[in-house]
Order: sequence, then structure tokens, then C-alpha cells
Amino acid sequence: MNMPESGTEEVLINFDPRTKLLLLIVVNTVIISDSGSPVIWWLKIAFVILVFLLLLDMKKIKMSILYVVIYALAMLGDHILVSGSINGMSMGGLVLRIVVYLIERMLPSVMLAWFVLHSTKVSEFIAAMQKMHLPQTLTIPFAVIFRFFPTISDEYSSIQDAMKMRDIRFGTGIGRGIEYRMVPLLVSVTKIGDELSAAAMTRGLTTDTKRTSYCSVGFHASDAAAFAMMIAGSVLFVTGLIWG
Amino acid sequence: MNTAQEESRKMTVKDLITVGIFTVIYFVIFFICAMTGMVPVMAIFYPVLIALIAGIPCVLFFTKVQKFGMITIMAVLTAVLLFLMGYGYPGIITGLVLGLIADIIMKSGDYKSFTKMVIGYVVFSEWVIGTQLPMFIMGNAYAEQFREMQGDEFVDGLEKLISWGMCAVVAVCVAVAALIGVFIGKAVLKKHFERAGIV
Repeated sequence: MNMPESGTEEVLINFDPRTKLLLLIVVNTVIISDSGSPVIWWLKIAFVILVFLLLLDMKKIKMSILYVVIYALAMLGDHILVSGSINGMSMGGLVLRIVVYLIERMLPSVMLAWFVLHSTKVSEFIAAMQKMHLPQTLTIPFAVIFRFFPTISDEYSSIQDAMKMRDIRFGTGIGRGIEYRMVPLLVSVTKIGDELSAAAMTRGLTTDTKRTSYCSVGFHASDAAAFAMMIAGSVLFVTGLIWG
Repeated sequence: MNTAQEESRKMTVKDLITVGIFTVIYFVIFFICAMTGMVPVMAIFYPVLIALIAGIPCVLFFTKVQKFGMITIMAVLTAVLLFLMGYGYPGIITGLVLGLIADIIMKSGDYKSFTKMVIGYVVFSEWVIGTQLPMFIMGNAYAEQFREMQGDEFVDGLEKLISWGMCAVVAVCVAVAALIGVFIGKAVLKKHFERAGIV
């Protein structure tokens, strides 16, 4: 079984972790907003394409095409709902509305988060956070959170398999269903946590001295371009919010 | 002796890693519970569901907490992550304030008293309402912005439910659910984690 580790994917153009953080904030804010303004609508489309390009940057061609196709289908569904050719109150209309809503609001953000998680090494991330002079009390939990999302989904799918083998499903009792998933998950993540603290010690995170890093993080032309794009995007977004 | 005590009061890397792990778990539970908000009633009552289910990981977390500030950091980090996902920023404020109060309550019992843990968890659970505050402050204007996307049925259902009275009802329900959640957590802790030597 291959373990999806964060930051192990190859990228063509690499960005600074701080740039990626800015990307996450700006793109998510725009994608999640519920404004009817045409400016913001175009901005959303631009960001959807940006996320597509970032996935291509990771050479995930199949995934990026699938993402664009699904998003386009959701837009089509949205169009059908707004035009009123399907009754939004009917069962089918309700299901379609929920699916469209989830895809339009969440898919780009989820794909962007996936890109950030898989294209950044944890040590790169810590080095960048240190350059921002954040205290250790925030840097370490953040780095753990960062590393843990892939781990949790991985652990969960293994537990899910094990429970399927024992025929424990949510259908057989919601309480049992939750207990038999949550408990093994908590046991395994606490164990992983212990291992992580041992690993952190060997990497010198426990010392008070300033750490040096093997990773070189810094701003390059690509970061400047991304920053300019995000600033322009924010300006457009605010304009759209004010003038509709 | 004195310096050793000083040392033990400071947060170690291990503590911070524990905070990070439980933040992720809490965040995931939050997110799954908040997804039920597609139904108008649950858009108001999802904090109740969170308080109930998050009892298990939170009790385990609290037994591992020994340093002041860990609960506050967890609450703030969760709120920041949720803010990035588009929930209201008031969650960061309520997370900071209620997390700190929960920390103070549990600290007064040296993080060992179960009664203090119960009170602390009930207080802590209320922070989730902060993520809903924009809805209660803006009232129907908040619901209207979803009309095109979520449809008339959802918005009309939601508008009937938004009021400050309802906010109080949610707060009470959260407290009750947290109470039940913390006892479920305690039972699970006894049944599984103590035997497995996790605690």
C-alpha cells in the first residue's frame, strides 16, 4: 500500500509556503462568498481555472481534467435550476441543488487545499513559518495539522476496511458505528503523535536555539506573480462587493 | 526544584503536537456535523451535534492536557481553520474567550478534577455558536443571500428559525448535549483507552 505523505509530489514551479497560504485565504474567501455580482462571478471562474493550472503544475493531468469537468457539470446544473426547468421543490430538484451547491462552493477549495498539502514539505512549511517570526506555540500545532490531514484520511480508510470486514456499518446502529470508528482512530493518532514527538526531538525542535533549515524558502518571480494576482483578485472582490 | 517546576509549567513540543492532533480531529468532526446544515433546522442546531459527538476526543484530549493554554490554542486554531473555510470570524473571538475560560476552570482543578472537566467542556462547547453569530446578528438579511443558491424552501425555513430567542435555545441545547457528550466520552475512555494504556 502506498502511503500518501504530504509534500512528496513533484511540481514544475514551486511556490513559497507563504504564497500558498495567501492563495488559500484569497481563493477560499472568493469561492465561498454568495454574491450575485458579475465581477465576482468572473473572479470565481478565474480562480477555478487557477486551481486547474496548479493541479497541472503537479502533473496531475487526469485529476485536473476530472475537476474541471465536474465543476462545469455543476455550473450546468446551476443554470438548469435557475432557469426553472426543474422544480426546485421536487425530490430530484432538491438533490440536484445540494450536489450543485456542494461542488460549486467546496470543490475548488478542496482541490487547492489538496495541492497545498501535497506540494509542501513539512520542513519547508516550518522554515517559512519561522521566517514569519511566529512563536513555536503556533508553528508546531500548525505543522502537525498540516501533516495530519492526509494521515487521518488514510487511517480512516484502513479502519473503514477493517470494520467492513467485521460487518460493522452505520446502518447497524449509529452509536456503535461512531464508537467503532472513532476509538480506533483516536488510538492510532495518539500513537502517531507519540512517534511524531520522538521525531521532532531528533530534528532538534525541542531546543531553544534558532533552527537552521536545509530547505531554502524565499520569494521568487513565481511568488511575486502569485502575489500580484491575489492582490488584484482581492481588489476586484471588494469592488464587486461594494458596487455589485 | 524550583527550575524543574518552572520547566514543567512550560509547554513542551509533545504538548504542542497533542494540540495539533486533536485540533485536526475536532475540525473534522466539526466539518462533518456542519454539513448537516443543508437542512434549515440543522443550520441552527449543528453546534448541538458537535457538542455531543466531540465529547469522546475532547475528554481524551483533556486528560492529556496538563499545561495551561492548550485548550485555548486548540479552540483558536480550529476557529482559524474554519474561518479559512468560510465560517464567521466571530468564531475566533468566542474560541479565544471561551477556550481561555475553559482553560482557567480546568486549571483550577489542576486538569485532574472530572467535575471541572465537565464544566469546562460545557463552557468550551458554546464557542461554536460564535461561528453562527453573523446569522443571528444579520437576521433575515443573512438568509436572503442564500435564496438563489439554496432555494426558497431553505431560506423560508431558515428565516422562521432565526431569532435571538432561538440563539438562547441553541445555547441551552449545546450545554445539555455537551453534558451528555462528556459522560459518553468518560465511558468510552474507561471502556477503551484506559485498558489500551493510551491514557
